[in-house]
Amino acid sequence: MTHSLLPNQVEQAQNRLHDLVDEWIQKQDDVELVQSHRLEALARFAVIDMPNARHEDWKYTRLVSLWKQDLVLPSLQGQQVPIDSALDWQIMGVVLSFVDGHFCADASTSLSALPDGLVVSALDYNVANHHDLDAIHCLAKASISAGYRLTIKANTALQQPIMINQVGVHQDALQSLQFQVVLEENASATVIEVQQGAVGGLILSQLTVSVAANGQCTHLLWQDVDASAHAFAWRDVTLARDARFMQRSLLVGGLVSRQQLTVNITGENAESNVATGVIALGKQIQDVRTHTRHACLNARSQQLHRFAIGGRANGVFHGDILVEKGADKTDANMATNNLLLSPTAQANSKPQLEIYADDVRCTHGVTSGTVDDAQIFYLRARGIPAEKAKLMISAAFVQAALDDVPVEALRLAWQQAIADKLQQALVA
Amino acid sequence: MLLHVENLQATVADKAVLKGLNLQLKAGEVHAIMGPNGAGKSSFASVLAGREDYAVTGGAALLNGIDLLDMEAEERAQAGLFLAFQYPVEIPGVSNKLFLQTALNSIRAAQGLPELDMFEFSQLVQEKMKMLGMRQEFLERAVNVGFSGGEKKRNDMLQMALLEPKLCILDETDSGLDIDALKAVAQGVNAMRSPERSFVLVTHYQRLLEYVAPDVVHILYQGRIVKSGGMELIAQIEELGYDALAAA
Repeated sequence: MTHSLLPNQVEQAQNRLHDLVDEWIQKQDDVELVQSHRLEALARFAVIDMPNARHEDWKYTRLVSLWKQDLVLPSLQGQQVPIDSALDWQIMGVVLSFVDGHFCADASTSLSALPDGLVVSALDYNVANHHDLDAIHCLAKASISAGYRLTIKANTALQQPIMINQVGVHQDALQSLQFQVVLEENASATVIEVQQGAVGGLILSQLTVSVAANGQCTHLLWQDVDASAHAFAWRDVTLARDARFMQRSLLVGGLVSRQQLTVNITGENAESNVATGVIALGKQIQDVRTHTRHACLNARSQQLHRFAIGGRANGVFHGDILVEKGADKTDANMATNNLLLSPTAQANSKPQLEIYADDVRCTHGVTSGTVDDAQIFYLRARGIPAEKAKLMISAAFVQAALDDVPVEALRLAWQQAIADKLQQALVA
Repeated sequence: MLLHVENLQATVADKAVLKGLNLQLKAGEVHAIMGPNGAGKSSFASVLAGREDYAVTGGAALLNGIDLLDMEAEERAQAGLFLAFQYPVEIPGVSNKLFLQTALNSIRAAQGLPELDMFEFSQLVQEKMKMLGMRQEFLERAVNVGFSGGEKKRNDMLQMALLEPKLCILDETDSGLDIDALKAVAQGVNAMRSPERSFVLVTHYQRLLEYVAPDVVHILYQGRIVKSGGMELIAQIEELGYDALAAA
């Protein structure tokens, strides 16, 4: 088989990545705290087991293509961001743009002109993750080149969204960013994350969101990197009493993409509502992982994940819900629907419930199917060509997860993006 | 002749369902096709509309002299054929508005007409909805999702009014409808009757025919038309039943 690598080739990739990042760290002149965090993560990366198909977590998400990639860490600064012309991002609010992992002031809102109640500061390196680090996450931590901590002050309702625009321009570039979003009591904000470009690159992204009592955070994610890129992201959300978290994601890009979300519900009556639309085509692997932890009374979590999978692509979903002892009256639902657009498309969905409380309502469900012939015939019988009928039905399938995106410009751009992507699949 | 069907034979899952069906229909006429369960009524409608489960094994079907059986389902619709479904399908996520506009523009494009933009389409669809006594919210909802049986049939009538087909086949569209919905279907048909447009009403019951008077009544029995006549045939069906009538 041409797609497998010998174990020593994986080891070589590990060594190569280690040396690349090590050399890069030596050249950075950041404060000692930042450097020591990088070095610590790199030391872990040097000895950690690399992901492999024998491990349950990586069974369907093969990284052979990544190990073969010869990556670089570009040090270019101040490049122009090729802003997506489909959207006038500037009217959308506060924009923070990063090119190949470096802050790009020209394409960002002036940090001295931020709205009242929003404070942008340096990362707090003491914020911990809620899960074990795997090799790729260690690599991400070792190679963070930029990031900010965004604090929304108590009682502030930010009207305009904050957009984090992550663009890869340099070919085969490794880039790693980290953000921390802190919503104080009663604060509300919408954070949009967009990832584009990165031909042949590795794009790593970490986000922590902490929502204090009564706070509300809406997170909108558009992963639209180049079809040759590898994208990994870890997003950790912590919700206090009466906090609300809403996430809507459109994941369409990358050769291999793994987007991981951890929601930690630590306050009573908090609510998390997550919906994902995924399109996997060609030989793409689109991997979505969610971990939801209910640690207290009366909280709700809702998840809908919709995968449209064509070509020889693989849609991978892992979702676990943990309801701890005492987290009574938990209401947790998780639904995953796979639409297979070709006979060689694959869906691997694994929902998991672990419940230690007594009085809870938890459901999970996975469905997989093809486009319904009866639906196609209905449209054809009204004069709509078969291809177009299939496109309308499959786009609506993905779109249904994202119909309530509260930023209209983004909702419309997503509608178009979904139709365009699926069009490629159906024409191919 | 608008529709010319000659010795039409078809199978579904290797079972013969049409066994030499003949039918002639002129422009402007309304024909009713009645018959017992399993006679082939829905099969006939499906074969004409191009449902892929059916295999045509012989015969011909021409619409305005053009061979229907050689066309894809969408091409038949573009040529002016319309099937009102026995069970209209629900399509989650696709709004009725998008569906209707796409359908209309597909048909217009096939006829070499310019597409209607959102504004032009809105005007036209409002007009048709008014004619059928339908509410605005119909447009915003997903195609047939959560519609009552009557609403689904009304939606089919709206599509018919909008697409202005030459030949409308109503496949047991009256089954399971309450009297109000039945009247709405009849109203839709009557409003659209014209010297250029013809209807084939496939039905199990005579109820619909009380509101839409057919020019010709056919009895379909075991895959063939065995008797044709006027409204008096309906009375005979009531009196004798299909078996006796077919044998007579």
